[in-house]
Amino acid sequence: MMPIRTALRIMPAAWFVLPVAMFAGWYATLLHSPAGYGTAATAAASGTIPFVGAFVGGAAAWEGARLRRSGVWGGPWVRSDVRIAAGAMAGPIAAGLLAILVAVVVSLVRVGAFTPDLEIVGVLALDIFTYASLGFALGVLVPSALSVPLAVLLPFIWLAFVPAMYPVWLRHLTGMYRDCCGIAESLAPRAVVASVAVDLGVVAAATVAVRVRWPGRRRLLSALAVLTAASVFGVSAASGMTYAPVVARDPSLLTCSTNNAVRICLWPEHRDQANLLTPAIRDVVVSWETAGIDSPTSVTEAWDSQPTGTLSVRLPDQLTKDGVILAMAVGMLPPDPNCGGATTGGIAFAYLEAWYAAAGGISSASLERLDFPGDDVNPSVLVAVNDLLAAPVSVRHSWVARAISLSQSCDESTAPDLRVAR
Amino acid sequence: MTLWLKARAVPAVIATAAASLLVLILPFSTLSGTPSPAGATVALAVLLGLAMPVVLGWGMARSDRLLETASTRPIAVLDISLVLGAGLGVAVADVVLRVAGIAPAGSIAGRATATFIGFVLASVPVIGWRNASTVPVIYFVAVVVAGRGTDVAHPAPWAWIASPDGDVWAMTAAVVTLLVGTVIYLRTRGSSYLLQEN
Repeated sequence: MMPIRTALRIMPAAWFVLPVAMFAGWYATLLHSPAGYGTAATAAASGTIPFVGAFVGGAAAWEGARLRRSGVWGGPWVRSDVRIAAGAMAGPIAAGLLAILVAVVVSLVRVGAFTPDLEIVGVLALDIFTYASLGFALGVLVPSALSVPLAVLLPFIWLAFVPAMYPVWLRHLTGMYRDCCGIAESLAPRAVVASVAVDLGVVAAATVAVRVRWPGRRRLLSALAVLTAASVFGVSAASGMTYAPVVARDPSLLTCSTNNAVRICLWPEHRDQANLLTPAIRDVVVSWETAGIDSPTSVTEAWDSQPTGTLSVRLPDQLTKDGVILAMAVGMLPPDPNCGGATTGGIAFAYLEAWYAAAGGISSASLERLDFPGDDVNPSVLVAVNDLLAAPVSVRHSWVARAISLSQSCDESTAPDLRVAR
Repeated sequence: MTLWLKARAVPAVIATAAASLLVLILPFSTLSGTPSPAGATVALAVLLGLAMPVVLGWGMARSDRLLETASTRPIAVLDISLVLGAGLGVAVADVVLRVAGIAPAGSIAGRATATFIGFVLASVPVIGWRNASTVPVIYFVAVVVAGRGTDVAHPAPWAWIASPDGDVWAMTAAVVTLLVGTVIYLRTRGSSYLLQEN
């Protein structure tokens, strides 16, 4: 291994580790994740990997190029190639790991979570090792005037532009999980398998490519074969996924309690606020019953398929009474129809949301923010809600049934009528 | 002259120029992305602009500078002619393709190429040809990661390569960068670093 004093003198990884780590920490503050959820915070920190990976790749290419220029690589030395490579790559890898670690810590502290997701941290560490291997191989094989820019650009293009491409699941090959996770979600194992497969493929291809004692054609074909096999495996694991690498979170983590015949289930991140949330949720359910709305018997934060009578809610980061009411009102909405685009009946969602929120006891200031202008046929959202509040229960029932039916219709030819019968 | 052409990898430079122009006229060159919440929206064409600086940096770093000081040929003149001729030539061709309606992202690529060549020339006296092409690459990464301005459609003033097509400030900044880089290179081309680079 290289003495630290020598590393500080000659390694770009040592020169730039502090600025890059500080930048990663600042960058992590820009990436959103739900309060208190360690998995989501760790996943958000993975958003720093494009430039950290580029830095690691460039620094490793520099070290590889040093061995190439001096004729050290591939020589008949007592020390093995693996040890020589490890000595050269240790600095860039350590710098990359430090930068990622800073990003993860900042991301966790920012949302008040203290348990990182070790699976994501492991993949990030493998990412760093992968870009170091790629950069080192380029440095050994190609002149530094080409290898360093290439080693910076390749990870960057891979991590910054591939996630912007179609099909959307391509992004899961990169090992960057910034679209994970909502509080009711956890990281999808398929995304982990896909990115680990591609990472290992790149590492194996780089390992084959730097065996300079092998004939060039054999190295090229072996590296391509390994990379192709790993890519096919990764693609087969990720294909068909949505843009977010998530699955439903383990429901056994929910803490459930029954309050006035309403069963309320909360994630561990909201367990501390249960004293505030439980009465707030119960009050909304009671208000809905009073208003003649078919109320749920159970309210849960889980979002996988739930039995009839269970309401799934996404509580906001800032837990306020109005926020809880609004989250429950949104949870009461019917699913989006599969019409292949926007529909004229989609206007009914805004009316339904406002009605559920108003009936649940939302403040007038928050209700006004839900207002939406009407058209030639329909009144504004607030006027419709006021009409509903003044109407008998039977009228409300029929209006809600009609609004739900309209919201699910793919018929573009009929103008929706959301007026409240008097 | 033949030796100089070979030492500077001029055939590779020409091939890269042709390839970058070919890619520019393909439909996907107009793609753009915003990979970072603090970064600018960058067209793929900007990335194409890096091809010439990188290959020129490699070509210029291949030879023994100390040996070339004894040459009877005007190596320094040939070198700057190659860099400006090839770099600017591609930049001008990019813009011409844009004006002709063949490459919608042509002026963005041309502006980026001019900017990157300017950065390379300004960096050579400090870090040598071997490392100079890393500077525009780092600038590009910085723009994509942290170059966002007032909103997603407007980059920060220093990230002019990400500006929309036809932005006067961006084109001015690119030309000024190229001129300043050229002046710095020409005024310092005899520096000792150049002699010791290899």
